[in-house]
Amino acid sequence: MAQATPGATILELKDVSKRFGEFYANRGVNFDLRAGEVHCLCGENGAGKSTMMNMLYGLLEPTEGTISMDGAPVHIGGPRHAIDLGIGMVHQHFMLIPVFTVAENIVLADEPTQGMTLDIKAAEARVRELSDRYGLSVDPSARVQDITVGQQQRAEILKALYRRARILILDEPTAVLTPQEIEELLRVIGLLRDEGMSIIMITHKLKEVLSIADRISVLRRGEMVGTVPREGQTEASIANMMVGRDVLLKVDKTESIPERPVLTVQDLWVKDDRDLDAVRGASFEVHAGEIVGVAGIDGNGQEELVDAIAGLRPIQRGRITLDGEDITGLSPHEVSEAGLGHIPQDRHRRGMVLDFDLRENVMLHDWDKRDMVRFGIIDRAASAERAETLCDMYDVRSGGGIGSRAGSLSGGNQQKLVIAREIQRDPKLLIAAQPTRGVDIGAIEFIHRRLVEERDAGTAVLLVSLEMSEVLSLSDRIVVIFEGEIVAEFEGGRVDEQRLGMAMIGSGDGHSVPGQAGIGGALAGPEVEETPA
Amino acid sequence: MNLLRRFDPEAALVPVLAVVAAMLVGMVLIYAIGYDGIYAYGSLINGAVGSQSAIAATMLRAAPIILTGLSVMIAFRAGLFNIGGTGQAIMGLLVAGTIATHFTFLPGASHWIVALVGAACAGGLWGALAGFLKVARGANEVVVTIMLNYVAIRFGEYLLGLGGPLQEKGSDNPSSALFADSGRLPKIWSPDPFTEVNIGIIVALVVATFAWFLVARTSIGFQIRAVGLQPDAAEYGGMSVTKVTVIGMFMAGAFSGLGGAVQTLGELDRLQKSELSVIQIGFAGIAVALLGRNTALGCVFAGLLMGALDSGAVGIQNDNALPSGVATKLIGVIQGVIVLFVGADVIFRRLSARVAGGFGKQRAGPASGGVA
Amino acid sequence: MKEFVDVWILGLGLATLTYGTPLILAALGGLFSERSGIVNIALEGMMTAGAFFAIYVSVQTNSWFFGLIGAMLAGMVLAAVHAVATVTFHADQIVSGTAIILIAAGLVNFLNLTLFGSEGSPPDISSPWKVGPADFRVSVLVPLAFLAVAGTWFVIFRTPFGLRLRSVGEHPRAADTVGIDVARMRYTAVLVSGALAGLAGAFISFNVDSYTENMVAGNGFIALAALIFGKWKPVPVMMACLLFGFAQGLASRLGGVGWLPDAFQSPELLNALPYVITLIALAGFVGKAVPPAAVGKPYIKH
Repeated sequence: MAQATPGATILELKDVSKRFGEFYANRGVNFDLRAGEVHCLCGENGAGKSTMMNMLYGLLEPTEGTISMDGAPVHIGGPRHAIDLGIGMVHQHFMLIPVFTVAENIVLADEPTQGMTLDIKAAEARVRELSDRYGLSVDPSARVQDITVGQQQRAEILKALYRRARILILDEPTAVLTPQEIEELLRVIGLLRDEGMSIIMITHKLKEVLSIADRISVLRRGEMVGTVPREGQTEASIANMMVGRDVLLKVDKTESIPERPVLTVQDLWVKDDRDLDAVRGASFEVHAGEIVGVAGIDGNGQEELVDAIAGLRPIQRGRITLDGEDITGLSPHEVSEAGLGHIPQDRHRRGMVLDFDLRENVMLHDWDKRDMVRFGIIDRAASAERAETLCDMYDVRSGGGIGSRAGSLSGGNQQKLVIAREIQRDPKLLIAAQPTRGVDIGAIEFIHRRLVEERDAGTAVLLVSLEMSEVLSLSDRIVVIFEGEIVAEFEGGRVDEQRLGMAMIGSGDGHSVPGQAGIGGALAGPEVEETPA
Repeated sequence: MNLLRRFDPEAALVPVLAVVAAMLVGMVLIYAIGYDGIYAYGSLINGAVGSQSAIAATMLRAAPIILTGLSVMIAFRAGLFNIGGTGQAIMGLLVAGTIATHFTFLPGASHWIVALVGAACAGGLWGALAGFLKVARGANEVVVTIMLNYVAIRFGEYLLGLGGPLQEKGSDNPSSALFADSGRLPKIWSPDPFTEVNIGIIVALVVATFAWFLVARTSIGFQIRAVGLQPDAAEYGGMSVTKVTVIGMFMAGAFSGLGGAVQTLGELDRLQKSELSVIQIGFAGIAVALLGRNTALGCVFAGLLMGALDSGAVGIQNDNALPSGVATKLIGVIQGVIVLFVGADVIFRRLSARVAGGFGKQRAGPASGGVA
Repeated sequence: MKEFVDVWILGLGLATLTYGTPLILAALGGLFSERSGIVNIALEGMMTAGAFFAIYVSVQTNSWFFGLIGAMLAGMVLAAVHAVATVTFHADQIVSGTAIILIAAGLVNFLNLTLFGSEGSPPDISSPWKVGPADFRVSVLVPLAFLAVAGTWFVIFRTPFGLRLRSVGEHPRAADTVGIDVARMRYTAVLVSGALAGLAGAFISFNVDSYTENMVAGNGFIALAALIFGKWKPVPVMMACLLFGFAQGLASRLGGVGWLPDAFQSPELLNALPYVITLIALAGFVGKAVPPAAVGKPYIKH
């Protein structure tokens, strides 16, 4: 890769803004990248990190300001131009074609040829050479859909290396990785830096920032808060920059008083969309009046587990009972009648119909209920009244009242609407899957409080979350899911984070794995309860 | 459906611009073959709305097209593209015609009403079959409904063909016996001895009201819309996507079946084999639903417009403004161009954005800039 | 025995090729388009245009070769409309396809009436060479169609162009991020699709040396079904086309067979057979056909 004087500024953004309509995604941003450094860019969801990187990669055009490379202003007209300038990007959602092989993905648009034909042998050889050199092991002839997420990410990095990138942008590269894969990635990043690569890494995981960054920049609401060297920074100091005030990691709640078991899951087996076993013999209970948190790294069967309980996915084997009633194999409608409230993990896909108004979304489960529908005709007054009440109680803010399109609400207000609807059904069991994903901090606090209140009212709550801090602060009991099995169980409040982290990667025996210490901290994001400074 | 609350002038403008643009394309075609476009369009307007008889002809022709438009509309609402209106209409008209010919024991108005109900059921089942193949077997609904169109055409041709079960006994013509008078649709208005409007237009309006009510106010309509917009959310809400899809396609088929029956019992005196392969109302229904922005009221207006074009073609024919037979082909082109422009409505949205923005420096892109 | 061979082996074989060849050409067209992410239900309309212009240009130039060129150009003009609507203006691909079917049917019959009048095209026109042994003469387009299958396979699976084309149909954003011009690839694929569909239409009209209304008779849609049935792969698609061609050939031969019940001898019911077989194939045996991942979805840049 091309060498620049180490430490020289090779990329600079000066007063860059990006406006969508009236909304500034970036405003007056200044940023510089030096040759051979790892520069971490931090910020909350929606802070404008991705917008900034998309401008660097030519996917978006700045509204104002200049981008310079090696001291000269450049106009990056598109991805092709960015590639030609030596910029490579590993997107948060991988830009890989699942049905293509690794080598096909890597050489796409710069294919080696032999006459008219694609020379796939040469492509594979070149990929092998690069992967050996940087220790990025991946089989060039494997199909992307058949390899692990970690390997896919390596393929993405190889794609940039194949195109002779000298600047590498990594957008949330660790969000989807297991702890071992994170370690491996950080090692590779270090190696690339030693080879002279300049790296921008976008992340909100503070542990990683502190372990790899040379300098750290923080964005908040589209504006650059500042750039600081790593020395002297702590997780708290960076979190403070990101949020703009001190943050605390706890939710006020009393000791739980568990009563009768409401949900019992016995030896549950569920397949995923690819027909592989995703939940493998899971057994656990949730009692009335307690919050049970399911901890685990993404993709270990959480989604399938929840779907199976809710009747949204067929069960291969096992038994589920809800307050004594066997709900195994019942339809979603029947399970919901039996007393399930379900805050689904993906509110845009499942939780609400975005093109329905709030009134219609509030009655999403009630299309056959006597109090909403008579002789097949919807009682608009009754449903409107309920929607008004819930929007008041849960402070759901919208532009046009209950006639607003659900899709027009902010993430936090959408989620409050879903939660309001599910709690209003007075469920015996409430499943909250990723209840605060993509939700602003004020709403997070509100949602957490509501879940605890529900618990105190005697509901059994099953919380599934990828945010370790959320699981730790809310749960009365934690079960750990790894590769579809429940591998460990902890009492809330007295959790040894070290052991919990081990359990999440399947090493429940307590032997230490190099580099795995404090995984709980690494996964804890900044999205925690706030106290005004 | 909250027409006023969600009134979007830009969205309402699109259908109007689409029609204007399509008429201009038609005009160009007329001049291209060396005829007088202004004169031809004069004849068209005259034939469509120029007299009481013309208005009557327009209403007569609009009725079945409104019905097939409602059919496409309701399928769209359930998330399906129903190109099968032709087949559903044929199944409907075959049953309606058979009842109108043979069920002479039915007293008074009940005769034609039963014929229409029969048509709705037959069309509905044909539509439900497509819906079933889609959800239960994963078959592509576009190809399936088109294949079902051809099967229906051939089946009807067999029934009415020489020696076929529905062919009139002892006749040499590939057609059924005459409909009983009580089986035909009663006339409601006759401005001149050659033109009569039958109750079909009333049937269409009643069905349009029913369709509006069904979609906007009923539980099944709620489910249809949920399934059409977001099947995963509908499933989460406890609805059966399979059941709702099949019911939605039954409704769609029933409306098309009614369209076929209204056309046949209103305009013909017997079932004719030769009519089956030239049925246009299925495809016209697609234009109507799109032009009507997938609302029941929109379908009524769009259907009246299509009916006007149809009767206008007759006007062109009568005035010899174009060579024989050419006018109906021209109307087909105009329909197609309307569908194209309504489908690619971004064209107009960009145009209006550009006009509004005074040819500003904004880069070409979706007018509704979202946050990436 | 001689008669059996003549009717059931040679005759049916010939009929299979006659009905199957236009399906193959059109389905390959659909393959290019759908592999790039654009559904092309307008194959039917493009075939109709091809069928007419093949005859019209052939009559005007007295050359079947120019007739074929004319057919391909006619298909491409309609394809260009489809591409503009769906790629540039993000129109729903099914809606645009429907529009083109309506426009093609209207326009072609409009032109047929104005250019040829009600008598139709003149009886003696230049039509493509026949090749093959004496009792198995086929249009030169037949071997051409099979060459096109091999060519399509080569282009799609063995060339950089094919790799890029498939990438655009699977994951346009990924293709965009490595600098592939998604719109340009899709335009190219849709235009190729139009040319092949035009050729397919030309085969149908040259087969009887004249154009008549509705002569394509749903073959464009059967080709689409074959595309799904053959899982978007050239050779299986060809096999599916031959199967559907065989069904049509069979329907055309069964009429005179004495031992079949009356209903099976009805020409109308026999003519329904190819559509029924297509339906059964689609609903019964397709299993889980996985189309290119991005098919049907407009690609909107940031």
